[in-house]
Amino acid sequence: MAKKNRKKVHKRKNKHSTFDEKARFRTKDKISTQNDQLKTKKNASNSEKPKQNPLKNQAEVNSKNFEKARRNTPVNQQEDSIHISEPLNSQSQNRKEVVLSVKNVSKTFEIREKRVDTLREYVYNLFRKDNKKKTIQALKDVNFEVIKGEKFGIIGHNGSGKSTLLRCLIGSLEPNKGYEIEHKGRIMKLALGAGFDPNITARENIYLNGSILGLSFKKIGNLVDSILSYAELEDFIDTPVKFYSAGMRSRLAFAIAIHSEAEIYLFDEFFGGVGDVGFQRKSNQAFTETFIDNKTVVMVSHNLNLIKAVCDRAIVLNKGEQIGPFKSEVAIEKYLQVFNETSEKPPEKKKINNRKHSADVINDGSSQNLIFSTDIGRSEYMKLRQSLSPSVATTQYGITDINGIKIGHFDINLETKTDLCISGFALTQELNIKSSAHSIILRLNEEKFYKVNCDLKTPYLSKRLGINIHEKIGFKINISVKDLKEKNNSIKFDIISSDLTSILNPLKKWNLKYKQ
Amino acid sequence: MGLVNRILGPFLLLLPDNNRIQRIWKIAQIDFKKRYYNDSFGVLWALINPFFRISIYYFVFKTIMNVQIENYALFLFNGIIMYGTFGEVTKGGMNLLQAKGYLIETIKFDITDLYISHSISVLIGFFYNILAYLLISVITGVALTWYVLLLPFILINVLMIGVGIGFILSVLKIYFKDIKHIWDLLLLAGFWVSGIFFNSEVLFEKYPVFVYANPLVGIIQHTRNLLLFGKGLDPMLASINLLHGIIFLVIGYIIFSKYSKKALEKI
Repeated sequence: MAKKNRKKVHKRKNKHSTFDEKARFRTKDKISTQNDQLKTKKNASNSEKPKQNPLKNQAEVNSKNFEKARRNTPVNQQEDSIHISEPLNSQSQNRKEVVLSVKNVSKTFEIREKRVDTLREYVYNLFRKDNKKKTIQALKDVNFEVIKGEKFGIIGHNGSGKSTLLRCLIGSLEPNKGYEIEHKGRIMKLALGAGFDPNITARENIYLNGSILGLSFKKIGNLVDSILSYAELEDFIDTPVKFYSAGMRSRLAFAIAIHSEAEIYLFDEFFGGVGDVGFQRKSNQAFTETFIDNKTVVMVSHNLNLIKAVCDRAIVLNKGEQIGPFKSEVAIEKYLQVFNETSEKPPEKKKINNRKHSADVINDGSSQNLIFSTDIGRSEYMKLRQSLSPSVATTQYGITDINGIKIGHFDINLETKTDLCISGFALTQELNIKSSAHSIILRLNEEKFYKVNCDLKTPYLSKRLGINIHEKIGFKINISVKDLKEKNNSIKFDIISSDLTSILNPLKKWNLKYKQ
Repeated sequence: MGLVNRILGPFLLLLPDNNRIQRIWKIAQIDFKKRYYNDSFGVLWALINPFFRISIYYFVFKTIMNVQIENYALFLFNGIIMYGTFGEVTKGGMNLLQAKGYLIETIKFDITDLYISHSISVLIGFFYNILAYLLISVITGVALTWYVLLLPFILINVLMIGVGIGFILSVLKIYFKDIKHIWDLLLLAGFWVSGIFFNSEVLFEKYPVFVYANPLVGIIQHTRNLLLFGKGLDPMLASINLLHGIIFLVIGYIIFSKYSKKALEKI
């Protein structure tokens, strides 16, 4: 590693001798030259901080998170920071170490109408004419480069080729000829329920995965305890993994990932409402803390909030075709555009429009809580999800049971003037829950009040706050409402700002008032 | 597992701090463990099994059928464990891509490691068998010679052939599920023609071409030479068997590296 760095510095010397000093502190290579001055200072303070085991950090994390988000914001904010394609940045491009480069990746699958997977069927098929070959183009000429330490998102509909792309990256699928996939360092994929031998214990699985990921037994031996305690599975060390729940497995996978020395992580819908609130919080911390800094992440998710919060850049896959890469916010916009084009408008949309009520919520600094009452019945809730999409899209929701109290949580992504995100709603009242193995349907009981604690979190604010602090910052929520007069059926939004640990962090206390 | 760890644990310390070797060892260990039920007593079965089998052979062939060949129980067991090793390597290898799919899908690594690991886990099984065999041969007073030390050569030869075939089969298995049954049949046929039940010297005199074409005849003959008859290797036969091994391994590896990725699509 040291050698590599020296080399790079040397290269730079030829072009820009001023970069030499800064190179030493470089952790993220993604800002433009204008920002260098600022960045160097920050990273100088960063690099003095010794790297710690994520476990040890936990106590400090809460407070650090806050700072971290603020520290990171200018980087995220730079509008012109990471457009590789722009020739303007050619200088800074030299300083970026490309860890993963994907060139000309296309993939076609050949499928027969009737399956042929035995020798008998194969012979039979030779004499049959009705079984036609179909080719499915899963990926069409995908090209992108991921820089070291970058978080790269891949978004698209179901069946748009996201998982195929990840499989190509991990090497379990071979793309069509003429492709080039280069990567530096080990790659690990994290997907739900994969990666473990169900018949052996957690300990053995840790050794197995760890050794494949390049850790020596000695190191693994030292890490086992902290992996298990991170995953909160100390009591199940010697239980075969087949007895684990999906949540436990993904916790274990994440704990191994975070302790291992893989350099590129592929997340395939990994953060999807699995793991209880506590663990989600923990994994989010990992993202804001040490884990995220040096590791490269390629993330596939339907959770646009997450993509927006975590990823620097993203590509959109539309039926195998690549759009982008763009900055993640832009990519999400593009994705939503594509979504509008491809999805047919639901017929009941007219009805909803008739009953549309829009509320401007304005931060006027006077009141403590934003309380707006509206009726969202059971059927309305589902409609709400639809009608809010795509400008306001609920992207994720789930139920967790903590000490017998059922907590529903879902994320709402609001498109606002200020890039404000609201996420992490928690419904703490009784809920009628219908849950199957993989999906959970939330049903609100119409009779009751729901207190919705809404965490206001956004990394995008600080810069704009600097500009807009004296102005009124508002956002608009369009909600379809059945009957506003029935105030008994109401939802209250308590906006809490501090001490929240999530991927996004609140930076300011928001005092919002409902205005009709 | 306690017993295996106790017996094989010391070997672990001998392993260099090389990640690849450790990985291969770990996969082999888990493989073996899973086969023997995951506990100490399970591993005991690995020892009890060969003792029991030799006793049965002795009872049936010596006492009931009164076969005149000297030490027929050992003679038989000899061939059977060698052929069993071959069968296990090929059959296990055939299923490897599917059985270890969860790893291939998750982490990028050299898939051929899996085959090496599998061979090692089969070798651990062989180790128990040969332990039982040697014990019994000492008990029954069969003189052991220094030729026993040549056994690893035979084993490597078997593994080369087995892994080569395993490479091919594992790819075929994904395209054609029923290859499993076909291979079972072939193995059964091989069991009866590879000179397990009779002394293949007869075969060698009558049909030398057959002996050269079927490497297992030579391998089983050699195993007996080393363990039972106190004889060395036939250089001609040994080199032809080695050639078999190299050819199988090379062809298998070429087919595997060319088609395994394509086959993995279908999993």
